[in-house]
Amino acid sequence: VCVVFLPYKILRSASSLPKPSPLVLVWLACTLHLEPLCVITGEPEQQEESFVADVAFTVATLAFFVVAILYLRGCERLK
Amino acid sequence: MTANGWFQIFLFLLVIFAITKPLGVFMARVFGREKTFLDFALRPIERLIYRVCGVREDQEMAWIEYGTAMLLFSGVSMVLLYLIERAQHWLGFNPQKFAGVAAELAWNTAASFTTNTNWQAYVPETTMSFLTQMAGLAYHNFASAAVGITLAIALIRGIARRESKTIGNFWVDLARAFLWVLLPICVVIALVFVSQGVVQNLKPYGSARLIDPQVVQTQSADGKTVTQTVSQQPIALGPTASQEAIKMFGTNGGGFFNANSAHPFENPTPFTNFLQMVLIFAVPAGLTYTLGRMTGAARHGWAIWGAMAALFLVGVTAAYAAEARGNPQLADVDQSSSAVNSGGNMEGKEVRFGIANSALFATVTTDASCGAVNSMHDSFTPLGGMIPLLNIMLGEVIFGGVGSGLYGMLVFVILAVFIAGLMVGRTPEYLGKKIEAFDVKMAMLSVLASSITILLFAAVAIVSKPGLAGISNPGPHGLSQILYAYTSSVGNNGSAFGGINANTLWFNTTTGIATLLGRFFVVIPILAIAGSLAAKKTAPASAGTFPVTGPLFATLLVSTILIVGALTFFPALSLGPILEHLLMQAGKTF
Repeated sequence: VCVVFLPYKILRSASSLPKPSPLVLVWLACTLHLEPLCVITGEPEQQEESFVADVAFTVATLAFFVVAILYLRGCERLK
Repeated sequence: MTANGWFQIFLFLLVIFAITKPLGVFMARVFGREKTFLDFALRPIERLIYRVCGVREDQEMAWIEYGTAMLLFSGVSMVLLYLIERAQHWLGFNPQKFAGVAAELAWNTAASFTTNTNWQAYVPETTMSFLTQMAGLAYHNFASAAVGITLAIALIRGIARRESKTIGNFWVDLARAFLWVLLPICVVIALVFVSQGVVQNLKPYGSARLIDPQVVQTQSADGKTVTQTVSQQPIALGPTASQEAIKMFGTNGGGFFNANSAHPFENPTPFTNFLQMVLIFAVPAGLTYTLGRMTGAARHGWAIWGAMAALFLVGVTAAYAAEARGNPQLADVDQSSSAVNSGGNMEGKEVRFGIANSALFATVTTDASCGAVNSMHDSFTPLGGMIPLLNIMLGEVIFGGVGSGLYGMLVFVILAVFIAGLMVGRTPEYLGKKIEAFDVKMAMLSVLASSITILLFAAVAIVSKPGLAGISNPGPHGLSQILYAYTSSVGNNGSAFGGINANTLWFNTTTGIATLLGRFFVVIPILAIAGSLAAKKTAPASAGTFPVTGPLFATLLVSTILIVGALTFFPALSLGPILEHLLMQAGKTF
């Protein structure tokens, strides 16, 4: 939750992103809590691999979008 | 080639021409906040969405805010799809009890559907639960298409506005694209599909007794070969029609079944086949008129439409001719099966569609960034298969994807106007706006982002073990398979050449990265152009202004597209399909 909402808070202060209602926040938080649930399957070794893969792909996704935002800022600065 | 085939191709183009203006006017009214006949039903829903999500619909955004909002929406949507896929065994609507999708495949699929690519490295009917198909994939079919439309509208506003710091509100444009443009038409189309025989249910898969039981050999978990007689065939069912409508109308292309639009449950009749092709071009064609209307230059919109139609006709003629001619090594064999199937290369094609409709579908789906297929592109003749590949390489600007086709084409318009300005020694102007260094830099950045990504990934795959492990044919055909995979990913097309095993860690991660780069690193410079143009003053047209309305402009635009696209990829095409064609003429096939 921190990984998503902290950057969102920063982005919101820097731009005019909408302020989500409490309903949306609750829904998002519930959905994100599925993550630990979905790795509790299979054999212990598979669980470990699955957890590492999930963390790696989630972080990679967030990292890509951070880079994309930096690219966007870079395009603005080019002007 | 038959008269029947040509009749269907021209009828298709005529229908596209007929729907361009009404759809274009409707979209201009929707995004111009003018009254439409759907307001009475949709306006209350729209207000409710804004209230729940905290959107202030009167608040406009600068391009950088617009772009940030788009990235944030896409990023969160992608993570959510990944989670749905991984957790599908915990969630409902999973009558076949499918396990969670493997991590790298789930990530690839999430990246692919977020970017409107819909590259499918999985077999849908044996991998995805109904919930994943509906709440994950079909939702993204709507969302990614809506994002594409909003980006095109933002660019149109940038061209149309004068001395403005803003280009609209992303959330408002997104909601209106969802509610007014995509949802109503898809509800109607889904019902039409159901009437034609496209399945729509939530039942567990059916089963059919085989007339001729088959003896098959499989490998057990401990590696032993097991021989068994199969007498029952599972029949996959599910909520197909609802996904099929947006799959085509949103130029997504991700099929409910692995065989995509060649499957009789997805595309059962000649009418659905024709309708599906019309749906692919509907919004992209309509947006050219929206551009003309919102900028007050209707003839400019039609000039772009004309350039797109000319390129489309060239492509479909080449593909149809190559497939109708077939393999010269079979020239002595009479391949005619009926009056309408006049012979030629029928490998990988549905007999019920024939060569004309297969070549037309392949051209349409790759002109646009759709990626649905009703035939196997891998089985096309080398030159017939090169046309879909070339269409994607040109940037899918021949009508193109929803939104992406128009904003891709407008990048080429800026380059064409810039080149024309250089020719006559004047500052280039586009609809009264001076095109300056920043605009051209951004246009080139947008074009280069996709070209570099395609060639770099393909080059690495061709010399690496995991890349080569995926191909099923040696020689130039293998190169075409790899080239097509990355071109399709970066171009956000998603169609597969076929023949390549893409469900490996290498292809899942590299094509996933390629789809993300192909979408977001292309659209960000385009939004920068929108912001730059919106802030400019409008200069009145003078005798030295290059007109962007007539055949001269359309010819220059087509030339720019061909030169940029053809020169960038010609060496790669020479080593792939062109070499394969020459070797086929010499009697060698792969």
